[in-house]
Amino acid sequence: MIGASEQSDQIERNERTWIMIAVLSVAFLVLAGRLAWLQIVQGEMLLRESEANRLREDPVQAPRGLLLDREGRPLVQNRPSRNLVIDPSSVRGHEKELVNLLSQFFDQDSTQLFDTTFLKRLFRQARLTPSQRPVLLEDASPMEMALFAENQYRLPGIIQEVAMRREYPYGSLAGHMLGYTGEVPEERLDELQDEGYRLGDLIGQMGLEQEYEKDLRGKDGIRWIEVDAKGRIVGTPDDMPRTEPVPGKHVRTTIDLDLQKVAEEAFSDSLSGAVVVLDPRTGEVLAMCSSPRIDPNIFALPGRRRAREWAKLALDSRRPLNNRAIQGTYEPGSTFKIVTSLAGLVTGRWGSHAHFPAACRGGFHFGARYQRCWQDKGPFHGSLDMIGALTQSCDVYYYQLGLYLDMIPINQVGASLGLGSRTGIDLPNEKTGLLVDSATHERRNKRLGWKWARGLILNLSIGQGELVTPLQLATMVGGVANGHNVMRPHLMKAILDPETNRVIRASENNVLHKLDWSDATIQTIHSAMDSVVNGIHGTGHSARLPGIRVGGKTGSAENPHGRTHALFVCAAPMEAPEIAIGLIVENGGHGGSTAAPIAIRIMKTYFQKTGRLPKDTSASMKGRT
Amino acid sequence: MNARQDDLRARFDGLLFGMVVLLAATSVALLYSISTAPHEGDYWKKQLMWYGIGLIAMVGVTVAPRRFWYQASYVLYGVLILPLTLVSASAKGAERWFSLGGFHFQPSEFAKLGVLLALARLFSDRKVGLANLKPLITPFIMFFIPFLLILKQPNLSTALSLLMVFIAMLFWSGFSLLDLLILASPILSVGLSFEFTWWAVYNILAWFLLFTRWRVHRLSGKVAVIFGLSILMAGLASQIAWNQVLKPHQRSRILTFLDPTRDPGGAGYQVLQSQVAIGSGGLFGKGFGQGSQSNLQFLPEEHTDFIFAVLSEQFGFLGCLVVLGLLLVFLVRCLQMCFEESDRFRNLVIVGSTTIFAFHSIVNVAMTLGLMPVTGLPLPFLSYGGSFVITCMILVGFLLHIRLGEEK
Repeated sequence: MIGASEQSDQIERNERTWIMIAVLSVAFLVLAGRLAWLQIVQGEMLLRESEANRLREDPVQAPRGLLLDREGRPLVQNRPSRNLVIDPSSVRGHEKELVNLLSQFFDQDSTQLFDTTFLKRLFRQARLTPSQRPVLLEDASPMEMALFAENQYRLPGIIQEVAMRREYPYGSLAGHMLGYTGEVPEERLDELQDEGYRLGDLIGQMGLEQEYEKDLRGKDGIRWIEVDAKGRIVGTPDDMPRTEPVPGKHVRTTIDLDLQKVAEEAFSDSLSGAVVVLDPRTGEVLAMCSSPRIDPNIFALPGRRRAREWAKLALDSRRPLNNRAIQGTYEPGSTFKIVTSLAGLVTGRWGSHAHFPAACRGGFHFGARYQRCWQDKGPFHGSLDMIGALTQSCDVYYYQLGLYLDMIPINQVGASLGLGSRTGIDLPNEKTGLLVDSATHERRNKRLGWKWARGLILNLSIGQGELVTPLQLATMVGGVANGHNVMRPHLMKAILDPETNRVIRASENNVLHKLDWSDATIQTIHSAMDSVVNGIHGTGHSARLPGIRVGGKTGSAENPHGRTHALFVCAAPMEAPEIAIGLIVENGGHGGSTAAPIAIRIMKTYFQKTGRLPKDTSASMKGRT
Repeated sequence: MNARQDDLRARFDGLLFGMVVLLAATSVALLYSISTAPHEGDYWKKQLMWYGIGLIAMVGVTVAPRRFWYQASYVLYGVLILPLTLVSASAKGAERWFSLGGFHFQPSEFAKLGVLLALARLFSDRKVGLANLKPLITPFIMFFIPFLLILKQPNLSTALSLLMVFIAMLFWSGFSLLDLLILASPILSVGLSFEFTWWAVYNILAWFLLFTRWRVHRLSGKVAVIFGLSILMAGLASQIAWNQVLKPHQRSRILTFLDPTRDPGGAGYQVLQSQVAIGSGGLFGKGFGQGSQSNLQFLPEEHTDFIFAVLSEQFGFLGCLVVLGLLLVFLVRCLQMCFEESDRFRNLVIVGSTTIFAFHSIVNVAMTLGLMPVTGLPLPFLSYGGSFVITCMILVGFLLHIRLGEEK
């Protein structure tokens, strides 16, 4: 009896044991199933995720291309600089001591090197984003480096990093044209991210640095680093591919360093204005200078000093950040008389030997108005032909020529010489300038309700009312001197491979406008310009250069804010022009006395360099000017 | 003399012990593999030490006289529960650790042993079922005191493992599956109360079940009414608690506990990184010591609760199957003893011990795999931890002791 009940009891218990074994097995099967799902089905995806956990991209800076002068001399170069940075993983835990220690560092004038709030902010940043190394000291000087080397044992986690920095060896020379680089502005980061820019990357922000950004900028390499869960750098995995940086290409410019130097020297820093020198055969810009200068090196200064210098420039009432050579617009003044003269010749409506009925007696009656000539105190110009009128810059002659021709043919000639529209030089933010006729005048002054009147031609025909840039002046005079083609001015001669210096892309000499002028026209205008400089009555006699036939035209543009702006355009040698100069000195008075001497110094250097003038001392030159 | 030694050898469970040795070796190897990571250096050495202590404890437990554990069970219950009350009295009730001579012990782990033995002895002289509740009162009280003390610590996972031991013993000593279902019915009601239709259907079914049990199986009317009402009340109370009492951040914490992916940066981070570690192991694993997730500390608690993820990352699917296989063989081997043992007390000890091992294994691995909320339950034999390793070895000692004392 007892045995039987015990037996049934045992059977029941065995049943329960089996149930437990079954439950266990099912549970383990579920676990194995889930394991298979994670490791086999999703394995690859999760493997990638675990790689993404531990690997971070670390860019390797690619050297930026250089800007060279036409003979290959560097105008901009890179220099290694040392930064002191904080390695977040090794400063952890003793931030306080380091802040204390670092705040007791002084430079040679015993001012504090770092202030405490700056240090605290930096160390907090290091704690929050341990994958980045905040910069403690940018571009440390040898003195500062020595200070750190002495104290290195007390400063764990403060390490040196070498970074390339832009250097402009000639300081402010051609500063506007070269431009500068700066960190990518945050508001443009979104659009630039597609092109591979990251926060803190440098980008060209003015001049050639901006224009040729794509060529100058290399491609940063990628190195992979291994980080732990806290973002601390653990090491560099050797099994990951490493992309080497591709250095940026060099840009060989058309600038002639010697000529540029002379232009900078001749155009005193106390003057405002600009000078552009170009080769009328090709459009190559040989020198370009805008004053007041900027020194692009200040944009490569460490943070706080850079901000200070920049503020100084931005707040300067002389507006030094403007590249006046392409962005300054001025009335062309008497230099425009070349255009007016040409309009008569090109249309065939006014011969070079013809005289107007009204001779110059110091002024001209137009209706009820009496418009003066600049020479209104005698000796008066009298009755002149075209060459005489240009030589002496007689306003009365040009009033009548303008009235006779009307503005349309004058502006056509002006436009064909590159005025009133962008020349298309390879620099950003070029200004268009302005040519005025009845239509544009009324369109521009619609709001004021001003109507066109024939009387306006009087001013316009002597270059008052139009607007030109110094570059346009040089382009114009180059075109006139050339006689056949107006070349598009440009600054890039070739893009060079940084390793082999082989030419990757050479610039073409583009014709901006073809001129179909008769030989007689060319000859007339050339001898008129020649006479301006070399004639007895020429206004530009201070631009004479013995042995070289220089042609030019002076100008002084009315300026409501003070003295007239002095202008001078010239080209040489007139029989086969190789060099053309456009020049403006703000508030310089008369073109012949202020502007022409500067131009002629540049000319002289050019011809001395090409061996057509003997080298001489600058003292004798000063005597002449 | 020789015959007695052969006898002993025959009755020593080599398979069971072999599994334990293999799992322990795996544990030390895994802890060694992550020793390159900072702050994880010494665990493998310490684990070896714990296994040494555990081995001594195991031998001691194994060679004890035949009726010793039966007789000592109530005393041990008292002795092992005592530290629990001390701990909860001392440190504002939020303390799991007990310091003794520089070592920290988790008294809740050892309390399990006392509860296990005491319950086994209590259930060994009675057959229980829902039909008759009177014999359940003493076991229930003896279970409930340590259960509440551990829950208060708070240590939900250990408390739950104790509950599982209790349920498994109830089942083994007479509760049918249906009885267990009725026991669990109020909890199900809480879960279903968030969807009114389901909850209504569930109520009708539950009441019908209770009614039939009462008519057919002589379930006392009082018990039926108590469970019926508690089903109803549990549902209502949980709704009131959820909507009226709990503040939004408390609700959010509960939801995050149930579904950690709601908070991938915080609570979900562990589970997410654990799954990444496991999945990235693939079929064959990254190789011994090559787990980037564990070496670079993306895996939190890798030496304790997430040791299975460390294993998965390094040895892949195949390695995991081997370890899961070892665990399953071990557990089945434990239960298999029940077929050969007729003594109720010994059977109950076997069932209780196996339940602790099984519950810990399944919940820990499921948690690591993202199938269950993270509760902090260690994996038997593999996870690092002195108290738990020693507890496990003592449990193994019980099993070997039973095996050794078996009558021919």
